[in-house]
Amino acid sequence: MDVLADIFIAPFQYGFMLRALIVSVLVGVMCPMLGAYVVTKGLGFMGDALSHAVLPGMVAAFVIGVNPFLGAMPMGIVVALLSGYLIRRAGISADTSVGILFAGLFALGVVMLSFTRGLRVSLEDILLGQVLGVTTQDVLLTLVLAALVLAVLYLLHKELVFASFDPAGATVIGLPTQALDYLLLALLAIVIVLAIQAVGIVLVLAMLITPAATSFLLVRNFPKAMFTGSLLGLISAVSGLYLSYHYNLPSGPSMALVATVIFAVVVAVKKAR
Amino acid sequence: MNVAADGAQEQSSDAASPSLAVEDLFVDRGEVQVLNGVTFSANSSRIMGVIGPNGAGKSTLFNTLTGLIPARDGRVRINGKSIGESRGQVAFVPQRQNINWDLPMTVWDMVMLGRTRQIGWIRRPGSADKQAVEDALNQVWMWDRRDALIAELSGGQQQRVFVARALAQDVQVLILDEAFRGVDFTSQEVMTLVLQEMRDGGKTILLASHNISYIRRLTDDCLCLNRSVIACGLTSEVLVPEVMDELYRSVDIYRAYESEQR
Repeated sequence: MDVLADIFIAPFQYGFMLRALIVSVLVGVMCPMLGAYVVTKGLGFMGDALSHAVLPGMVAAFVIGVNPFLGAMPMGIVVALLSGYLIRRAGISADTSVGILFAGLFALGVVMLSFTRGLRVSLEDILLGQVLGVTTQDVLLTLVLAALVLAVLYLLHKELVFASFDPAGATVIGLPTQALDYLLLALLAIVIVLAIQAVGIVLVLAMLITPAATSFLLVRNFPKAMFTGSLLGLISAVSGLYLSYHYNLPSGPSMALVATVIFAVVVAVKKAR
Repeated sequence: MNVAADGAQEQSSDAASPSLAVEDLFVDRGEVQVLNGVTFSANSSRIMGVIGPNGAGKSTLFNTLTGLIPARDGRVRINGKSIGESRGQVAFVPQRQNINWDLPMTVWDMVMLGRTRQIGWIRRPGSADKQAVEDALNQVWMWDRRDALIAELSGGQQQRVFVARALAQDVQVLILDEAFRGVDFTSQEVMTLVLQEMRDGGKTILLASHNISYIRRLTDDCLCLNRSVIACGLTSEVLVPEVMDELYRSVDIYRAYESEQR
């Protein structure tokens, strides 16, 4: 029993580990909920690009001295809506216009960061996540925003699914399909910003699409896939956190690796059958 | 074209107010004028076929009537209301390639989407909605497959589920775009029966198809469209060689039509 307690309970005698656990659980659960839409709507590139594009907002928040997520959040939502507009309107392909916009914003963020030498900001933490460094304020923000996103996903489930499955049919029946699309992008931006705390800009995709993609291999029903994905995301995030504590590994990449290994195992088992 | 004028007059004198009236409709797609001054009307308890060569504007017409794309000019009245006012009052069976098949959806859930308006925002389906879905699935002979994933069904079965969704929507006007393309014999027969039942129940049905023999068999009226109305009237009076010649002038389909006549 002592061994189990050492492995599972001992880490949480430290406040920073408890805060990290709460954020990891929330990120692990929330990402695949949105990820189910991302995977089925083919928004993976969009998700990746969006996570890079919030960097200037984060850096600006560092400079002003407020919580970086208060900068990233509005930036993410604005950029998500702007890219939704570009996808609809641009003469060039959606991939191209989103790619140009987001690569440009990421570059801007890195350049801005190079002017902030006085601040204790690590580019590595931003890129790969540093969930062990989250503050109590981060935890509260994450709780509130996760609750908000969950509530919207639950209340507007049938409308969001209809607009994602058959946009034309949804429009004909009288749903504001375009507004629902923008809403989904805004929710995606919020969840991505939350996930950046745990896995960083570069690895957001691992939490966003890997558990969701795994769940679609296991269950063939959209709501069930959302829940299965959440369970897998939770397992990935929490076990990644334990691995990082016990073996002194970076936490974000550990979580991403666990999610990837689960995906690989499920694929292998399915192929073997 | 005399047939057109006669047919239109006959039709409008049949009913006091048609459930679908289109007047001088102009629709552009980008720089291209796709519909040029289209005028016709469709009445309740009738099935109207819409035929024309590829690029004739059939899908554009349907997309305009269902509010998916805007008209540049003209007047559309659906049960006396404009397209904007009658949103949700038209059921649409679209071409199947416009669906996101990557999203797993059961047959039951798919038909329940047709009840979205009746259920209302945020709320969950009630017993009336469940009953409507059950009735619709029974009508298209798909009740036994209610838990199946729609992506795993045959094309014909998928189309029957789309028709069931339209049934569950329970509205006056039903529009089907190439609903019979790539559909197996059983599904074709089932959908024919359902459409005839809907017509007899007082619905107004518009149906685009390339299958002229099917149009001849199923429809009461026929709209011959090639950017503008070539002819519109009783199917038996419109589907004559002179009209078909003008409609499909130098088009391969016309040769198919001719060979069918022999």
